[in-house]
Amino acid sequence: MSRELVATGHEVAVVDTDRARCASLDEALGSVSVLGDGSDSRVLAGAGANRAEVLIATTRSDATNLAACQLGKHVFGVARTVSVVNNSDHTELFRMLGMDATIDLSELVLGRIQEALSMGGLSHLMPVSDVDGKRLLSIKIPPDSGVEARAIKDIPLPIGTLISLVITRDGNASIPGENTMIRGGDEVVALARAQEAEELRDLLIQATGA
Amino acid sequence: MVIVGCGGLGASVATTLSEQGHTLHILSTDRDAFDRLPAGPISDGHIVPIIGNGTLQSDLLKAAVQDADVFMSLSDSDSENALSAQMAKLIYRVPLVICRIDDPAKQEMYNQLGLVAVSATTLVTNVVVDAARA
Repeated sequence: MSRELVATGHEVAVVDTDRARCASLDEALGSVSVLGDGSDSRVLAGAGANRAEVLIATTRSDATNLAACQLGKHVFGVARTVSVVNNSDHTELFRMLGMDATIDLSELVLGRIQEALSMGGLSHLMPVSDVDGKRLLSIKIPPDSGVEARAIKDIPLPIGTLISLVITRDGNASIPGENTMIRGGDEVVALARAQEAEELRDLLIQATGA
Repeated sequence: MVIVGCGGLGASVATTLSEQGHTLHILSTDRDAFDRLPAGPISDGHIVPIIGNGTLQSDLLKAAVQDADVFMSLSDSDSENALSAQMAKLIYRVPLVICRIDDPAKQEMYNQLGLVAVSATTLVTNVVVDAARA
């Protein structure tokens, strides 16, 4: 990620507690690393957190990620904080505490596995609104889906959800109208709140008659 | 009451509160840490030790966090204390949440965020400085 950001012209500082990782990062990208604990205010100050537009926390410890983001937000005035969430237990809390974006690792991995197994998986693409927790989802329609060959207007979608894009199995993407037919193999991109996402998935992937 | 962390501070607070007649659950990931607790209050049920992680909902629920009126996270990790404490406050709506934060910069931040953040370092420093002045 740092490589990508440096390549696109951003100034990046990477905080890590591992001396060897810092050294190899510096070798690859110039001096970008700061050795230390990202949940320590002095270390963040040394990394220039007061000048940062974005703070991204990606450690395996949710406690460390939260502390780093909260310090960024409240002590250093960083405008945008993004955090990996290792344990889904903490996703809701991170949002309540004002993290601008959370990346739920287990959800992400589960989505990918379901996708790989063609279980009609639900992938969370990105959060859209901080206010009501709306996010963009991708749902793969299995061939035996109960909504196969039904028009969108005939599918009882959960209130508040919006089907934004339909990508057919041969790769044609279109913005659907109410008469657009959903077919097995399609990928549906939809906007929904977290609590409606599961409901929407169940509706779209359940086999006929289920 | 719920206490997370059974190191020197957690065990000492648990012991004192149980002597004052309170009943409390204390969580620690380290079974041996419970050796710091007095045997009497454990056998009469005033202190209920629970092996578990204070940053996980399932373990907090084992400690009856949803019924607690006071929650204290007192482990030696500032970040884990802050995570547990904010779960207690925002998810389980515990009325009084106290957490140990040893870094003074973070202590101030968490106090402003509505936790009662206490720092052993700050407290001892104040006592020592007062004593040195006297």
